[in-house]
Amino acid sequence: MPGGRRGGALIGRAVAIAIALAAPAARAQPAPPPPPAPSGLVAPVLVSDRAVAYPAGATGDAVVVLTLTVNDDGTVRSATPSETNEPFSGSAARAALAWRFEPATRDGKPVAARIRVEVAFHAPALSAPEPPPPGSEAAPPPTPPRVDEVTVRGAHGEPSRTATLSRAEVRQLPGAFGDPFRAIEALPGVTPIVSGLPFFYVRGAPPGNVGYFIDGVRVPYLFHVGAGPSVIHPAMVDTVDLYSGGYPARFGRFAGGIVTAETTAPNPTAHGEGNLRLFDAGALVESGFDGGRGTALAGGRYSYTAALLSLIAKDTHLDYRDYQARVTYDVTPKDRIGVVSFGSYDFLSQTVDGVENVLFASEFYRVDVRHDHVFDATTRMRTAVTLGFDQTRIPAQPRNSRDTLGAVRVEIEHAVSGAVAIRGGADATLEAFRADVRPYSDPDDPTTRRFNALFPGRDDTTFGAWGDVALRWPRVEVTPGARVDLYRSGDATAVGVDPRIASRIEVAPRVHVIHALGIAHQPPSFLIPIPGLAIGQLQGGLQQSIQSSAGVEVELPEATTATLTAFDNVFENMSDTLGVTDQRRVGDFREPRSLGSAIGAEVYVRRRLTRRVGGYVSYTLSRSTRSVGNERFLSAFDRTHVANAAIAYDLGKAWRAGARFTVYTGTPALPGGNNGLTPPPRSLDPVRDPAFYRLDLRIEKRWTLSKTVWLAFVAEMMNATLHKEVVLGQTVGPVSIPSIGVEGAF
Amino acid sequence: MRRAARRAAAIACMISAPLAAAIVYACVPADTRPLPGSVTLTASPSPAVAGGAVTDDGWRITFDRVIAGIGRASLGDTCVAYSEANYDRVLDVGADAGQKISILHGLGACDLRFSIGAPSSDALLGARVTDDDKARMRAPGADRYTTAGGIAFEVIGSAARDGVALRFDFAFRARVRYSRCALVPDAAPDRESVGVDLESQVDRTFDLRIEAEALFRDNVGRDGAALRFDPFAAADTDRDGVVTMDELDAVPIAALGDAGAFEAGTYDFDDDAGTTTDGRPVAVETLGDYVYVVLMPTVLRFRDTGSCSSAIGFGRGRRP
Repeated sequence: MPGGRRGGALIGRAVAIAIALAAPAARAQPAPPPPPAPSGLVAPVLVSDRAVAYPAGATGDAVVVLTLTVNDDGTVRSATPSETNEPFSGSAARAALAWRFEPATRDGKPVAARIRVEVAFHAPALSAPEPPPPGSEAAPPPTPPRVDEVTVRGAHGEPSRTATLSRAEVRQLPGAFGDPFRAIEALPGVTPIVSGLPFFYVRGAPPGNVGYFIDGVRVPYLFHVGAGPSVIHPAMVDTVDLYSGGYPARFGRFAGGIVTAETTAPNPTAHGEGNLRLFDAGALVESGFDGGRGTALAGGRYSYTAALLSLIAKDTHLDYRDYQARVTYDVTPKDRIGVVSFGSYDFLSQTVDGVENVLFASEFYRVDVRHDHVFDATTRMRTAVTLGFDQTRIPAQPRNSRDTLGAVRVEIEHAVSGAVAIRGGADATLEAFRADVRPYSDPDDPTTRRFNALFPGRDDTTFGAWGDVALRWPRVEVTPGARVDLYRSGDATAVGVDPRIASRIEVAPRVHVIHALGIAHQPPSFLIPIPGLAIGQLQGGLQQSIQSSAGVEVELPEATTATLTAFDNVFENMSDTLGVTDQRRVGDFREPRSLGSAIGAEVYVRRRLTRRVGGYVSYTLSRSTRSVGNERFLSAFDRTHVANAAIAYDLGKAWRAGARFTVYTGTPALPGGNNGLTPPPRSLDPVRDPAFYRLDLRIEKRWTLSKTVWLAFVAEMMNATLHKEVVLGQTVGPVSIPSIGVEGAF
Repeated sequence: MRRAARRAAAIACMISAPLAAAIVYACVPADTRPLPGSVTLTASPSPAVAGGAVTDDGWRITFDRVIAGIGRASLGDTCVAYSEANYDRVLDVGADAGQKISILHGLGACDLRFSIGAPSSDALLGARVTDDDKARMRAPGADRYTTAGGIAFEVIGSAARDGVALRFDFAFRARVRYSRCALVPDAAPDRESVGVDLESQVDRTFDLRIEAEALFRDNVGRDGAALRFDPFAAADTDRDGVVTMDELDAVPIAALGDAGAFEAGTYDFDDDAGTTTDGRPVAVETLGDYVYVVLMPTVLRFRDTGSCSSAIGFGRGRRP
């Protein structure tokens, strides 16, 4: 019987199994006890099968040291060998990605952690050893891998980050319907335009000034029409970060806030998730191939609202759907190729007298081809090419506008030392904007002429470069950075230079002071982000914002954190049509530039919603003003008080319930018309529309069918109080969305 | 070999899967509706506005300027509207006949709607209308029915009889909305008798005739109404030769409603409600009220013989 140099318990042949059992091809070596962790820190503990196949065709012994990033849910986000030693290093890295840990904790709270693991390969014996005689001692059980160091990550992110939302938390948030993006509206500094609609003011910045990114790829919007779900299946979203201002230099071209999502790391272990709800169904599956070197993911969501609406509003047709696909392949242990594609489609129409009128239709698609290269333990680089296509049926016009884009980007990160990391990148984007000629129009109509002048067909190019330095000492973290963007639209050009700096300083145990300051430029923006529509020729010049904030973060007992932040934003040459509008100008495509100011304070007290009793309170006190010419007035969407309070409670026996209460004061009541004249000057202390409140409820019952398979029944309702809202003097709603469905995962 | 084959399969999968997902997806459709018809609205002066008129009590009235902010046209919700024209113009009605107001596109039996109101900042200028005219009409001012409105409609002219010449300058600041236009004169159009039936690829032109002389009728109905200037002349109590709306406001309508004020004709009006405005009745108590609330909305004629339902909007500035 050939002993073989071939290990591999995974092959499944009798001989191989015997060899593997008799002389394990590769097991983590029994290791000395780990060094004592810093105070309050508990290292992650490996709990899953730790077998690593001895690579086929390999010879001899080898030791591979892996640097693992273990998520706060115990999964492995990345596994990087300290040096290349094929085929051992690749085999160890791939196997480690499938490991499961008890996550690291700090003061009892799960946190992500980076650890080093040593994997020792021993060549199999040339002949199968004799099995142990009956009654002899069994082989000692495998011991935990040797851990050389523990680096806690994720206890806090970039200093300028307002909040991070994880998928697990968002799933428990009433009114969010499991969508991480929808949970943004509950964060401090976020002021809704209308309850339930996915457009916000962030620290005074209008919706058109807030950028949305998925894995570094800009997307035009995050939600489907009709207060629908997000355009990315929640199972593909790992975390969502909100930067209200002073964000890192890698983000740019938006003068307001940034909402960025990171997708889950590729996972070769077959898994999936699905849900079936009142209005739509979605699913996502992922698995590995080629021994775990490759992963493939497919997901999507499909709405059947059209069928349901036909029962109550026969003439209205609402349809939305989205898809996601991802394939990754580790060409070498240091090189990963990935192709990520996602797209979204929305359609709303009404049939009158047998003629279907499209009220709204929009779609966008992205394909991102990326190459991730790890030079060594200190340096990594990503190179990516993005292709995209956006198209929208222009509101109230029977024609489409579209944007075809191509972009390349490179990002590099280098850890000079344990305390200093340098990051930088560059990108180039080309966008071709085109629109159909408008049929059936009055050529004299000033609105049509103004629209055509605002959105001409043209080619836009943008070049950007950025860099920052992350300086992390034991109690002080400072991140200075800057970016430069060159904009070209048609025959107009402009340059934006954006310096940024953020800091986080531990002034006392568990008390940190956080500052962020930055300048941001943005091309002219429209009311709200609309795919395929962007103001051309840099008309009016770039917008500029100066964003500053200062805050205190305190870690309280019972895994609770509290932050108090003051902010002061100044917006120059701002294109905020919504904020400066009067009632008769909404939608007539005027583009008055204004000087804006937003000051305020935010309070955020939070205990993870995944705890037995979790909750948070967010409160924003703010004042947002605009100046046009000599007139200074409150922004049309200024809300003095915005508050959210949520609680989630584990009722036991796999029942969880939650409630969220939202209340905000009304916006300034706009002066009425005066027979077509410009209304009288707006006041800085006007009468306001009534305040609004709503209560969201959620209840879930989960059945755990096995270690990895679970099924849940979820009933949820946004605005269970059926409260109506007054917006710009008009009473709308109640915008109440019920959701009943089942979810499951394996 | 097997590894190479697996790698090739992986690459193929990487390329094809995301693209396949994109291909099966729907695209925003182009406009697939049938081609619409169109209606062009125009404005023309009545013969009296163009060439003057002689009233039943012997006054020769000449109109120097009849200027209106007019537009904001739409097709209502009874048909399929392809495009509407939510903009306005400032027209000197007497300058020319058939001045364009706007073009609308749609299909089906449409309810034609438009308004006369103070010009917007975007208002286009018609023939013989200057920026100064527009600015003057946009300047806020007050009258009996508005406290801070611009001028929606203004009639400037003169009347002469037996060597006596008087001028008049009547400015109206309230907005008047017109709808349910029909060709049945002086009838109350019901919902089935809407203004325009638009057929595919058929272009039509509808003219709105501005009859400024309606301000001098003694009856809201065109047929059977007489033109009278005597009550206006009598209102010029300061004898400055200019009749103003303020002077008309000082003339109690009751003094004209019986045979004692002048020899012939009566003013027919509803004491209690007058013309409903924003759902509230208006008491017509003076000659100025009658001209402003009852007669002024009737200056517009739909396609020579038709009429439209009208409603006056006074805005927030209406005085009690």
